[in-house]
Amino acid sequence: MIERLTKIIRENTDINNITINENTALIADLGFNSLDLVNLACIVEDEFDIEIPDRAIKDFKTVGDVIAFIENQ
Amino acid sequence: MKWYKYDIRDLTVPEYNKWYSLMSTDKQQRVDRFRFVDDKKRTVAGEMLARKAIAEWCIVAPEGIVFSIKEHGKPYAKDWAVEFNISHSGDMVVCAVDDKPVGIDIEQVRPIDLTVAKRICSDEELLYLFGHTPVEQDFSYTTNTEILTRFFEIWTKKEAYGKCIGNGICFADLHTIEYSKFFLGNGYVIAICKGNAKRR
Repeated sequence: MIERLTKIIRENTDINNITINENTALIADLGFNSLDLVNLACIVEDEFDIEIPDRAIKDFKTVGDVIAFIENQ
Repeated sequence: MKWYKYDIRDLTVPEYNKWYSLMSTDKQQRVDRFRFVDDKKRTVAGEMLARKAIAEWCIVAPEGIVFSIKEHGKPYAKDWAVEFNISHSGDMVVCAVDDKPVGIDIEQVRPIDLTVAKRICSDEELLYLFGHTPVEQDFSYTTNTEILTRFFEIWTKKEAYGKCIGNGICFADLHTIEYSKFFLGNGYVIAICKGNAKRR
């Protein structure tokens, strides 16, 4: 799962030289802003065929939070 | 309402250190946590701009202002009858102040994947965005500046609205919210939303 999400993040950002793991903070470590978070949610929805409500996006602080949400669907 | 803008490329090291030292411990830890230097600069510059804006509005010293957080996470200045909001993108930081709730958002116009437009835009906005009823191929990565500018216009207006109401949606008060300003130029789009209209 982490590999799939890392691939998504790398393919959709300029982030290539940072190690990404479950503790990686989307804002602090990857420089995400609110639009980047919504964009990530859209891509994850398509990739994993799930729906992510707006209120869930607000709780996405780390890569691990996104993985946990996906795995709970 | 007044608003201010600042280019982080003008932020000197002494200025960075000065405004950083005035931040709360929590804010300093958040700045320290940022991996990218520009994220640190944007946050410290936001602190500086907010303090200066509030100081000018309230006629007080910027150093004496204490910030806190409202119920839904929106920052406010303790002991002062002023509302403010900050936003940053690229090299620019902006701040709006008013005596009523205010929200501001700035975005650097840049190429993005427009899949996100499906999520955030109404059907009418999609028509405005693309100039036609969109087809699936439209929702893809684009470098078309005209389309991107229209997208960021839509996005910043919605963000400014959300930041104005500070997550505390009260549908009975929506008629009090209005857009006061919208700017674009130099590769940036800025929207300001204020809760200033008379309540019915």
